[in-house]
Parts: sequence; C-alpha cells; structure tokens
Amino acid sequence: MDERDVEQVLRAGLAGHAERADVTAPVAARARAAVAHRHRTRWGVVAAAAAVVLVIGGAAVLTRGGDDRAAEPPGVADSGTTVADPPAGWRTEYYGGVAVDVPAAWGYGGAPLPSQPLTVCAPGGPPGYVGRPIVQTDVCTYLRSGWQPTAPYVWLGAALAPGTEEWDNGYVQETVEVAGTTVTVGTADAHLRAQVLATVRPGDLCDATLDAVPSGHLDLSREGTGTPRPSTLCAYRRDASGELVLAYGRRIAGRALAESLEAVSTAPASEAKCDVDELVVLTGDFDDRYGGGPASQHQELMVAPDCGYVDIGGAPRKLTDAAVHPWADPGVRATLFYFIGPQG
Amino acid sequence: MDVEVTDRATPAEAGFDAWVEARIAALLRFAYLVTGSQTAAEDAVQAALVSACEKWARVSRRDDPDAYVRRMVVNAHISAWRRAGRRESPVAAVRETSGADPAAEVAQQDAVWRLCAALPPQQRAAVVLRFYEDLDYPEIATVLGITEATVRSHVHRALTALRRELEADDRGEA
Repeated sequence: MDERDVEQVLRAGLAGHAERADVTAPVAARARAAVAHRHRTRWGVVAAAAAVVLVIGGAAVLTRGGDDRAAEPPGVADSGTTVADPPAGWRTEYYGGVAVDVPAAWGYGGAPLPSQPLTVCAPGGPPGYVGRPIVQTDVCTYLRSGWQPTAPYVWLGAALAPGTEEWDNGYVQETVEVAGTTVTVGTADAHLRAQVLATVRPGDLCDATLDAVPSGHLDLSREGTGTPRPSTLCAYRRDASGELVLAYGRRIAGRALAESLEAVSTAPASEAKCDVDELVVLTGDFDDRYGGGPASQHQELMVAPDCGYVDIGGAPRKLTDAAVHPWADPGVRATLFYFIGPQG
Repeated sequence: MDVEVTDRATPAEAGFDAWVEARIAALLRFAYLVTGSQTAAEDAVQAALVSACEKWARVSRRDDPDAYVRRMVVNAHISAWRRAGRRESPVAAVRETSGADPAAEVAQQDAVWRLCAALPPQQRAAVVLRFYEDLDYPEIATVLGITEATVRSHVHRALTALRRELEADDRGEA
C-alpha cells in the first residue's frame, strides 16, 4: 500500500465520518441568541455606569463620616488611569479591562461561566471570595433551584447583564460593566456592596488583552543586576475566541522577580514546542548599580506554565518549581490550569 | 435553516447570516471530525460563531471567515483537551455502513477513526484540514498558527501510523 492509497483511505474515512455529524442542530440560532444577549448587556452599560457614579458619590459621603479605618472604603481612583495602592486591609483584583478593590482576607473561587451563566464551579466561602469564570473543579453549583449565597463575593467577568438580584436571605447581587468587563458584587451588607462598587474602574496594571504571546527580555550587565524595584505579574488565559485575556494581575515584590530570574537562569534549555494557552508575564526594573545615574535594567519573563518553559529572550528555559515558587500566590493558583490541574 | 435575516438586521448582520447559512453544515462536520463528538462540535462551533458575529466587520473584511472559525474551533478543542488532562479524545461509536464492499469499507473507516482518536488535537486538526478540507500546507499552517514544517510533520506521522494500522488489519492483527 503506497502513500497515495493511504491518503485515499484517509479521505474516504473522514468523508464517511463527517456525514454522521448532525448538521441540523440549531447551533447558529443558539449563537445568534447569545450575541443578542450580549448586546442587551451592553445597552445596560450606560445605565450601570451612571449607577456606579452615584454609588461612588454615596460612598465618599459615608467615608468622611466614618471612624473605623479598617472598614473605610478604598480611595476612589480619580482618573482611572493610575495604579494606586488600596488602603490597609484591602487588595486590588484585576480581570480583563477592569480593577476592583476587595477586603484582603477574601479568598478565591469561581464565577458564572460564559457558556453557562447559571453555573459556578467552586464557589468560595467565608469571609468572602473573588470569583472568576474559570472551572476549578468538576463539582459545580447551579444558581437556581434554591441556591442562595452564603458568603460575600465579587465575580469578575461573569456572563451576567448589569442589574440587581435579591435572595430571600437578604443577599443582594449587583452587576455593573466597566471597560467591557462585568463586575458583580453580592452581599447582605449594603455598605460593603457600595464600598466595593465604588472602586470598580478600568484596570491599568496590565494590558487587558494580548495580540500575541510576548517574548521575554533581560537587560544584563557584566556587574550583574542591582536592587530590584517593585514588579508586576500579569496572568493571561486564552478565551474561546483565541484571544489572550487578562485573568489575574498584581504588583509583586522585586525580590520575587529576582528569585525567579535566578532560578530561570540556571534551568536547562527547553525544546518545548507548544501552543500557549495561558501565560504569566513578570515585569520589573532593577537598579543599575554601576550605571552612575537613575538608569535601570528592565527584566521581563514570559512564563508558559502549560508548555513548561520560560522565555527570557533567546533560547527558552525549562520551567522549574524554583522559578514558580516566588510568585505563585493563591490568586495565581486559582486562575491558571497549570496549578488547578485536570478535572474529571 | 435556523438562521433568519429579519427586516431589522443590519447589512453586517445580514452578511453574517448569509455566510452562516452557507457554511454551517460544513463547519459542523469539520468540528465533528476535529472533536470526535457531536456535543463538543456544537459547543465549539457555537462559541466560534458568537465571536465571529461580534467581530464580523473585521473578520469579513480582513480575514477569511472560514479560517477564522476553523481556528477557533481547533483552539477551543485543544484547550478543552488540556483542561481534561490530555485524556483520549471522545470518539463517536462506529456505525455500520452500506457500500459496494461493506466489510472492507467499515474496516478501513474504523481504522481511520481509531487513528484520529489517538492523535493529539492539533495533529488531528491538521489531518482533517489536509484530507477532509483539502487545504494545502501553508493554509493549514495559517489556520493552526504553526509552521508549515510542523504541519508536514503532523501529516506525515499520521499517514505512517495509518499505514501501520491498515497493514496490521490486513494481517489480521487488529
């Protein structure tokens, strides 16, 4: 049997099997309905944005009258274009084009999935949680049939229309959309809900999306690297359309980047050839201690966990635990499949 | 057909609807071969169509809509495969068929389907694009976002594996 015969068998076999597909399934109609739903969601944005402005004003008044600093709402970003530290006891969460501040003690969980807006896989628990539309387990919760929230939450990027829902147990869920990303806050505490909603703003720590998988870059001098300055971690995941969307971001200590860089520099070369579905970009500047001025060395690591390599410019290096450990916080571990692991 | 062009459809929407109506059957068959499952095929095509519709002005102007949707179908399948822990792709049960030489035809189609089930998703997509969609190597490389050399390697290894499978069948080893 020569190659032409094998090709002919392959063509005939594929053609025969293709005929078994049910091409009458109403897939196009379902796609149209999903698009229409999203359009309705976007029409709600203007009203939602106005609501956010009102909430921000109300929260500002509450803040001035408060005397408990730990419970104070975070400062409202004035322009939405600068990275500001959240106040003590709060942290900033990023997803897609949006940023929001939440109580620092909250954990991580799931949020309604784009394909199944009434399903959450791994809802978190007390004292509260930040959920992303990511499957963390194959045990999922259907948000009807008597489900009621039992802990405050912020869902980022959930496929929900702006608006408000109420539960019998006093929980109220409010969804707004900013910079193309929804933020949903659910809690029985109206003050807390207003506090969190008041901080919703366009995110500016990381790019909301990436057009392509970036390359790493190292500035090295013969004298070595100097003192690291605060750095940035941006984690991306490829969505159903193939676009790399920001899934998680935070500022990290420069030391974490330095430790990861040191581990990568001693790791063996990687021969991995792989389509990158999720990646982490670590970016930071180190003082150039012999530069004689304010000059700095810019370092950028592109970590592809699912492909097992790190790009620092030039030949990729194998990803090792030592390279991951300095920055793999609970948020990263709840966001990337490399850490979540397979389900089912 | 389940797609309607209403009076309120914009020209862009009407263009999308017309394209979907013409291509939906082919896209579903392609997705079925790539995913090996009717359900997965429907999910992948639906997600791809939603994205294509929302970006239709750009997709129809700058890209080949077929290539765009095929690429998203493949990406969705590869992502699902990775999330599931690289388990074997689902394969629909091989059904009896009728033909001039039913036994030989069934045996060969069975061998093809077994081969497809064993291939990693990207390689399987390359095979489907080459031998079902009749795309050439540069076109496949564009759809899959990989080099032409990788496409050739995928296809060559698949053909070698199928030849082994068919020869084993001939010897009665299967």
